Amino acid sequence: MALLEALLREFRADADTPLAPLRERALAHARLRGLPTPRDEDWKYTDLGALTLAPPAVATTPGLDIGDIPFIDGAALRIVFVNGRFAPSLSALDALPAGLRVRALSAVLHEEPAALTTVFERCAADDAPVFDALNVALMQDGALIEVAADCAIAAPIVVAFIHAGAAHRGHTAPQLLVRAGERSRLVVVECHHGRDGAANLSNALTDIDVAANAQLTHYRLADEAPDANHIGSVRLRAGADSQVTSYSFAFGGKLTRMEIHAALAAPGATVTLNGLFVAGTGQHIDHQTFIDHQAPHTTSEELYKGLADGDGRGVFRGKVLVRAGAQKISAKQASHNLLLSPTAEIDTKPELEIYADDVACAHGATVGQIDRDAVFYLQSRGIPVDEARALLTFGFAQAVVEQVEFAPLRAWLTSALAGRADVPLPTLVEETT
Amino acid sequence: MLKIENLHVEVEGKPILRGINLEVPAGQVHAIMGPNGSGKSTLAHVIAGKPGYTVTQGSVSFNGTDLLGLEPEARAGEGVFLAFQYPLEIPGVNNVYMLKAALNGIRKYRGLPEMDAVQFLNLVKEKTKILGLKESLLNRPVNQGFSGGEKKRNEVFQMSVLEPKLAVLDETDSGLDIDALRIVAEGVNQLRSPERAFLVVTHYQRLLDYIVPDVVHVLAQGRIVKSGPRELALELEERGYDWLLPSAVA
Repeated sequence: MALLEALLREFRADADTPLAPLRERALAHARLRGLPTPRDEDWKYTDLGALTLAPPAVATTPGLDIGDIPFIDGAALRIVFVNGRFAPSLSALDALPAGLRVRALSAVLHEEPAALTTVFERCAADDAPVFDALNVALMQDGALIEVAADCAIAAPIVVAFIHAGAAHRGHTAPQLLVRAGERSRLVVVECHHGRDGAANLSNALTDIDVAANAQLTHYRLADEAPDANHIGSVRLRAGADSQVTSYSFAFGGKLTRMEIHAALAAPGATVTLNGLFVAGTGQHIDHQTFIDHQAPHTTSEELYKGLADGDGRGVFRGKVLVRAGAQKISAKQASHNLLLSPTAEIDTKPELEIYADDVACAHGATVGQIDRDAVFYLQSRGIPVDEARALLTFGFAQAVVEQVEFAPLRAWLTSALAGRADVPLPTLVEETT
Repeated sequence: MLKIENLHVEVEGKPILRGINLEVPAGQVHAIMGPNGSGKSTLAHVIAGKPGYTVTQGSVSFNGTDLLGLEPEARAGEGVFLAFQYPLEIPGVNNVYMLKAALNGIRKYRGLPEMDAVQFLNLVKEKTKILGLKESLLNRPVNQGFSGGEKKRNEVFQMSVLEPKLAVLDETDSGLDIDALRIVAEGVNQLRSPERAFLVVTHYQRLLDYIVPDVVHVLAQGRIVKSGPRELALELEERGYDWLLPSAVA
């Protein structure tokens, strides 16, 4: 496959770091396995066959202003990467609160390679997903965020991966590692944002480890440029009595593929996975979530909302596994989808696999259209038909949007939803809160 | 104000209304009564512009404007309001926001400047007080989790904010207990004015004890078979509808 060959050619051996053998092993694993095809169950609806590494469309790097990057302006804590490389001038890391450590992986690779060994070993293993292996082999930079035990960090830390203009290769492999110590609290906002003309394939890996009694909220936005592709993998482990919430928002890009894997590794762990995607004309957005109840007395909740318009295509596959011995668990999953045009398509597939007998599991999946009677109801009040449809669309997404506590992201989502309909809705969130 | 002439309406090829003639002048309340399936709700829906109905003959004009050629939102702009028999739930859209969008949609249609947030909230507060509506309902998603009575009261509240020229009440009494009925009727009565007309569609005369009509029309088998003063409703209560059905008359 041309894409795999192109990716493999990007490998640069870094023989001087202790991790080099692991990276070469990951590369070898990817070469051996090859890229997934629709014959793989996980990739049934997403075909990478047409994907190529296009060179960037714009020849020069435009001046990037902080205001151009979602949520960055005003974020006191932020680490920014442009076209895969750490951008110190756009970052704000001088006033980190005590207990919070944020480093660029390009530095960590040399300073403290041991901090990366676990992730690299996992991704180089024979059973690792190919894109995880490729990420580890080709990773140039990214962020390592560590919060010490007993530290509650009030301000969210924003991690932004920006693709703009084109002093870049058409491919990035960013990594975000989050390590939350026992009883710590942290909010991480991960943003992948592409500017027009930044043709690329971004293969991003996020690895989150939450220790006992810690609380972590993770927001992730994939909003690549219209002709760009995004493949994201989120792995999170929730320790005993920890509370982890991870959101995935996918709006932009041509093809966006997300794999989110949450392990509830010890009793008392609670994991919430929420998501919202909007696939417009020419867009394909695929979410695969996997919730692994490894321990008894664990709780998971999942709410995904999907919207597809034009000939947009959405996919949601949500698997919940309750392992033998994982008694007294509760797992709730809901996938609700709205088709805004006759040519849009969303496939949703909940899967429950339960090997314990004392469990409470529930799931529901729907795919529907805007309720014609509801449109008439709003019209009969004097609301023009386009605005009525936009309101109903917005209302549909609101169940996820209203849970977002990071206000700049909530505002961004609102205007993104409103912008699609070209209807002035941005004041809605203010008025509802 | 409202003038309906020889209105014939079909649903999926099946005739429902077969030649309705009705005139409602400003300042009056007209009641439409009739047995189930007589076409009462169809008439209300056709006036408001609900899709799914085919007008095969006749006309509906409102202050000289042909309503049938207008989209539902334009009819609202002209001053028509339909209080739904089954108000819809709109998840995720707050009641006040919806109303503001509605009011400004109507103002825009009439070439008036939009109302700002402060003006609007003052108006809403005033109307809530008049109707005795719980303020907590205002910021909830439209009708979601509302009881049957709360939904109907919300319809009347919307009506009082939008101040229509013609209000069509479609079985507003259905599903209401007597207390809720009284409150809803009081809300309607407060809106009665010489400039405003009401068309009250109901199955039972009970509602008309509270909203006293000027004229009562009996709709049966798609036609108005009898019109009369308020007392007609009482007579219907006593005798039922059978004596008025065309077969019985003939």
